[in-house]
Amino acid sequence: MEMIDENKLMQLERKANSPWARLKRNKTAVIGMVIVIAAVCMAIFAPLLAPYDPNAMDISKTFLKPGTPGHILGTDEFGRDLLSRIIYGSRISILVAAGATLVGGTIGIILGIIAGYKEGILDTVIMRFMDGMFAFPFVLLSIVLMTVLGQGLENVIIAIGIANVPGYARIARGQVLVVKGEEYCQAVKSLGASDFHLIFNHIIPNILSPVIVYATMNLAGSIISEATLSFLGLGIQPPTASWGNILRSGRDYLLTSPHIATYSGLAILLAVLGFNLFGDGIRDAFDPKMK
Amino acid sequence: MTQQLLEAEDLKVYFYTPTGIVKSVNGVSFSVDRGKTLGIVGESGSGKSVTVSTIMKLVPAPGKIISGKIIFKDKDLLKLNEREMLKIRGNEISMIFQDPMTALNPVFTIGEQIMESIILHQKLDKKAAQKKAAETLELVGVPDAELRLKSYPHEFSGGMRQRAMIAMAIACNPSLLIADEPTTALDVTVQAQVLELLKDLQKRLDMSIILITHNLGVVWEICHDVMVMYAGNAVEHTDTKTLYENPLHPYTWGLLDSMPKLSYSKETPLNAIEGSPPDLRLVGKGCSFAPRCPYRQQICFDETPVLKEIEKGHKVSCHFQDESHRLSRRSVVRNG
Amino acid sequence: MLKYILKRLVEILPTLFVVALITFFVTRIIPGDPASVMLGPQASVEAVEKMRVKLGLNESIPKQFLIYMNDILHGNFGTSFYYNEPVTLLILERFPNTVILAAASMILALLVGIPIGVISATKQYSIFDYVTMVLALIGVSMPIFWLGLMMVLTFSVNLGWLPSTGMGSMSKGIMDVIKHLILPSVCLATIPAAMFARITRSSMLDIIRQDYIKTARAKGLRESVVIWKHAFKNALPPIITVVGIELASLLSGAILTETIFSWPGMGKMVVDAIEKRDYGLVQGSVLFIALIYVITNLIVDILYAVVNPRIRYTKTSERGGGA
Repeated sequence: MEMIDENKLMQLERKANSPWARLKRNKTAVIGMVIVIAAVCMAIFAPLLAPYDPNAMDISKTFLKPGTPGHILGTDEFGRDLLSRIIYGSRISILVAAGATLVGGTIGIILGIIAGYKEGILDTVIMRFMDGMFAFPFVLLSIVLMTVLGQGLENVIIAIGIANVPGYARIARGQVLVVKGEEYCQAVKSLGASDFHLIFNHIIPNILSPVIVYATMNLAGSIISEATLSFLGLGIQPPTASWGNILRSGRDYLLTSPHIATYSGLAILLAVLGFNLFGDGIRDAFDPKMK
Repeated sequence: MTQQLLEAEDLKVYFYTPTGIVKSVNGVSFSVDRGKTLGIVGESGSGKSVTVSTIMKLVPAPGKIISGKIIFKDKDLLKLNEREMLKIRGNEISMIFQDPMTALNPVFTIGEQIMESIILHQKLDKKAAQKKAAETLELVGVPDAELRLKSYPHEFSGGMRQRAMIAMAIACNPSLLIADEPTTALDVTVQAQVLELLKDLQKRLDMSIILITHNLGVVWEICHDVMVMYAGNAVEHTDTKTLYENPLHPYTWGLLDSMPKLSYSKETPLNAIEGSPPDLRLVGKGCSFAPRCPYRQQICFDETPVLKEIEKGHKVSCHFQDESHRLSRRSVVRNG
Repeated sequence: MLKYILKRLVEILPTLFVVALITFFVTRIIPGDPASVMLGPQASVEAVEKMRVKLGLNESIPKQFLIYMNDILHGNFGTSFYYNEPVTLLILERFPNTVILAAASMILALLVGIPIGVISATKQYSIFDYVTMVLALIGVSMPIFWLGLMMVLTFSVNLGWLPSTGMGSMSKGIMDVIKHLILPSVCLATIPAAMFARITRSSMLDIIRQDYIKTARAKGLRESVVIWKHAFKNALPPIITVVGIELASLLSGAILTETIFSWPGMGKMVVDAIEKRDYGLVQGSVLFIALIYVITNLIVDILYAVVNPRIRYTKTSERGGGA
């Protein structure tokens, strides 16, 4: 029997079990990643990919069925090409998802770190407030915030972002508490490190992985939230193309031209599916219990 | 009535994994006498646990029992269907596991868990079962048994939990108790108590015990006979006294030598057998211990040795140990 | 057990306070003057001023908040601008319909999701497992309003089997109501059912690996008893957590489902109120929904403790508890 160098074996094992390698092995996660990348590319390269201007109306070509030459997915009530509108809709979805996650994540993590690090009264006040925010169903909270802020892309991002804050705060705080209790933190502190140094160099790197996992799942939720708000007429207003508002107008023509509602909804489904698969994969890759 | 309660012949259990076929048990035979204790000793991966799981026919997937016979009370267990096995498990043959904290269901009381076996196999009503459960708990040395029936496992101490698990196993008066490393998870003092309890129960209930352990001290305490396993094979099988006084397999020598003795000073380096156990997917012809054996010759790699009875009641599996020819015992360990 | 319940009740008081606070401030930030909205653009300045006094809008903010809290504690959730009726009354009219829809959906989701999860776990890697988990994943990724529309398209428009709007009426017999209930409740039940299937499967897989399952089999218990009595009961805590989350999110889902199917419940009322800028109704309804949410979570927490005796003895702070 051959003798393999034990050290080499350990090195190979460590590499094979790194989060990136584990992610690559997970086939469904890879599919998710592909979808996510496709969606992002669609958003970035929309002008190149879309066959028509999404806002170009043509009253002579309204309600064309899918498969009509020149319009693979058909046209809407103003004769605008559905495929182009859906492609441009991805811009809104990706932008909102990224923006809301950034806004919610940043604010939430900062609050969570403060609460977890300082503890005491500050902790109680912040977390009780977060609990209060958690008491609202996410959609309801976003709806209420939108009513206050008014319509428009920036407000959608802010509203969904704010609704995201409690989740991030809770995760960040929980992780800070865990890391604070670890011995190396106390060791560094006894060496005279400042709070600032401790937070940036030790705490933040160690709370990253659960936060990243949460963020990936959160992206999917943000896409649905934007679509929901637009569907209810509260989010992105026409003529800007958003999957949600296409679905909204598609509803009115469900009997005669179902393709409008069908394909816009399908786009939402695929994007969310992709982010969910990817998020599941990231979560499994970072989970220390799985091998 | 024969003295033998259970006889296993040429058991083969293989695991079909994506990376290869793991030959966990590769032709193991042994027997257990009435009212006696058989110890099964070996390192992790030697196949001890899989062997006893085979007796209960509880080999987990992807394992499969390939061949062999297990004669228990005139029946071949391996030929019984699941329904018939259900009547034997917990009833005629019982099993206890290593860690009582994880082996007891945390959401049911101890009483409920003991009564479950009683109601299932002895068909008693709830009140009678409760009485029997309390009696059994008392038998294993748990004070205030009736009260303790209402406790949850997490409310017991480690030793008490092990006793509770034993109570659950003997509630239906099995002829054979299989104990898979029952003392490994316990403190040393509690270990001794549990072993005493098992010995006591054996006498009272005329119960045979198969005890798996990697601790030779435990073997000395409680086992009448011992089987040493290595890499899916039985390499030596004899009574305990003989194993200590006249061990014949080089692996057994290694095990005995690697036990730290009280006489060792702090500076004495610990002994270990050179090398490590083989990958069970790569087992082929030849003696599985050969790569680590200082006596290895070419024949050890070419031909698989058979478990032969060298002296009365003493079986060894080695090419160089037989009735006429003996190896002189040399150190199989290195300081390390 | 009682001690635990009381403890939890005390713990949610600050949360409820924050909920009231948030609802109060949010509606105060809304641009526009509620009084003039209520009376319409034709109203005279004096009428608007009188209304402002009536609504307490000329008081200082902290005083307004106290009045607001006082009102709530007396069951007064404000007045709808559009209907000119107390919000409480409107809620009482519509909330039961939402409860019917939510209850039907929850029951469906539990009856379908949990057994599928258990079976998938016991038959891991089989075709059944694979197919159901793929469907479940698609289920949780679907926008519910799209699912609703697709269902309407298939079952009402194309097949004509079931009605697509309204609740039906008891005067036509209970079957009429049930017919109207089918599509919306199946639609609303889809996402929770998928979540239940996934979490049940994942939790059961963890539990089946445990030693005490080996012990149960070694006792000679039938596999079905091992799975449903020994494994399932231990698998419950995370399932109940998800049931709790889904129960609460049923309220959000109901908002959308009721809109699609024109089901006359609270959800539709809130959406219509927002479109009509009826902030009185919005504020009262939102507060009400949030309160229901908090209470639901509390009930779930208590159920959790009933199922898992160990939880009763640990501090809530150790579990990272909260609403």
